[in-house]
Amino acid sequence: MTRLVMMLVLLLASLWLSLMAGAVWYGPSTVGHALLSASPTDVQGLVIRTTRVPRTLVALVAGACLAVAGGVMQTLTRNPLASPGLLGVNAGALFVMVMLVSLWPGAGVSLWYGGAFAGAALAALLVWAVAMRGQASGGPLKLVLAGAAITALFTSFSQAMLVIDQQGLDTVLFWLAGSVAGRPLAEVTPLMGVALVALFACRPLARSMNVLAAGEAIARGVGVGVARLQLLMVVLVILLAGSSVAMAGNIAFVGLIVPHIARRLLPVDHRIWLAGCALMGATLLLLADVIGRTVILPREIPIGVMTALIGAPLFITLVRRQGGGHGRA
Amino acid sequence: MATVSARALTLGYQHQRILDELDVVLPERQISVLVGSNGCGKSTLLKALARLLSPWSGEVCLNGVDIQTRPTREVARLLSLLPQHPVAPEGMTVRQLVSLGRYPHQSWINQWSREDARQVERALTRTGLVDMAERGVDSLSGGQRQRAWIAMAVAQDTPLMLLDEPTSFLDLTHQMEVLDLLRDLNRQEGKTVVMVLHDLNLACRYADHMVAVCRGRVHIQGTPSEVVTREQVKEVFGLSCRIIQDPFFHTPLCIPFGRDAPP
Repeated sequence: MTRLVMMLVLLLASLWLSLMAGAVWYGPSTVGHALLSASPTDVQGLVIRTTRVPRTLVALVAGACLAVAGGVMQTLTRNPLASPGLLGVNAGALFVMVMLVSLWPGAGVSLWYGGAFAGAALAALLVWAVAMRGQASGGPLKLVLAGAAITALFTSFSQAMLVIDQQGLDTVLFWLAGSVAGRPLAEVTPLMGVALVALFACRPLARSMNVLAAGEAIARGVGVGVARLQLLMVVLVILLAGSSVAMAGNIAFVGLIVPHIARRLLPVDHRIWLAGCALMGATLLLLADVIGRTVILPREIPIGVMTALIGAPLFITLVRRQGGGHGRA
Repeated sequence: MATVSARALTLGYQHQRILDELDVVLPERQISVLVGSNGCGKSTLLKALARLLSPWSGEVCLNGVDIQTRPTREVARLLSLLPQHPVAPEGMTVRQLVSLGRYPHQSWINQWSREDARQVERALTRTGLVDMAERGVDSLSGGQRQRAWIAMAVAQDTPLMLLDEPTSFLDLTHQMEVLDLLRDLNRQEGKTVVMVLHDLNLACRYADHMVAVCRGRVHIQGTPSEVVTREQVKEVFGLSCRIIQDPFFHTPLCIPFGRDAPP
């Protein structure tokens, strides 16, 4: 519990830092002032409210979503490599959204966002269908291979859209590289609503997930409605991954790494562990964004690139220390 | 109280029929052991009794009611199951594992009661795991780990316990330890125990009631001395043997011949 509080403190600090940092650094008092009073003549306040607050909120929610989606998927599949990035859910969401943007640019954001959820669901369905067929169905290796194949497929489709659609290049690139910048708050508010509902919906399922983590037979033996629980978990993953992709595009590694770190630091109780995933995922994305927008001024490193830069070494360290992953694998 | 029985039970996987109109009644407050050769359907039968598999036809009855029609949580308060080779989540402590057994007794409103804590404590004491309660399940030896899983079933506090090969992969000492524990639970608390065992001689020692499954049907059932005879071992296992009486415990003792000619 103390660790959870420390994670919360760290998150709040990163949140504040994210409001302060940028091409121009603002002091804590300027930030505080900008948040509390909305004076139209105050240029600094305007910058903070219209650019830094939205990107901070997007990083916060998208980070929490990806990490929790990863955690839920790892329990659902009992596979330590499960994450919305590796199993193709993000790639599916990205592809359908990018396709709609390219083929139907006038459709407006709500349709594009709907596409993200549909794409996430489509990819989840495909991975499941491939992994469950034939020999060793549902085995850990098969699932990851199916996920890798679906990810590659959808990613190349998305990249093909770049060639087809030269005008929409910027929008498509924005989502492909992953970014939390430049999203008007009004545009992402509905997505945040969906994301928050999905995040809090994990709480009532946490106790059942604790049992499911010990295996399907055990869970059914103590009276968990396993099929219903698994379906709910898949729906949660689709909502979480879909809304994070729609908000911030393709962001790698958060959904994979954060659940592992949280597992090292917290007890294996989904009520605490998933809360820790949410806090740490949000913190990681906030910090990645702060670094991304300050190190090569006046340009920015897209957040998707930053998380890969931070995530890859972390993941290698984890794998090396564990000698190949996870007790359950 | 809880009695479990199967009536004309037929089921299988995909297109392969495993159980074929099988009938069996497991006696209450006794230790029943299912025996049979590999692939005869005894594990499948146990899973069907625990409502993990749904029958093609026929039914499994718990206290006279079709188990598939009862709410799963209600069944879980009457019947606990220890599957083959369960794997605990990494980093889970013994106490956390045992606490999972309280799931069917909890609800939305009543998340963790004093009764839950009491039952977990009792299960730990009963299985001799109090000193190891805070240790990780992965750090335990095979025998201790199996006791932790049994403790989870004990915490579930059901009159009926089903166990699928609870002694596999344990050395002889720990096999005996697990079986002694199950017998204590049966004798002292009146629990009905139904389990699959591979070792015929241990089965004879611990079973009150023995069910020999062969080709998806009950070949014969009764006390160990009724079931384990030279002819029936030949029929059920396809094994030549002699049966003598255990000089200390007076249960049947099977001496397998294999390829060696009988002396």
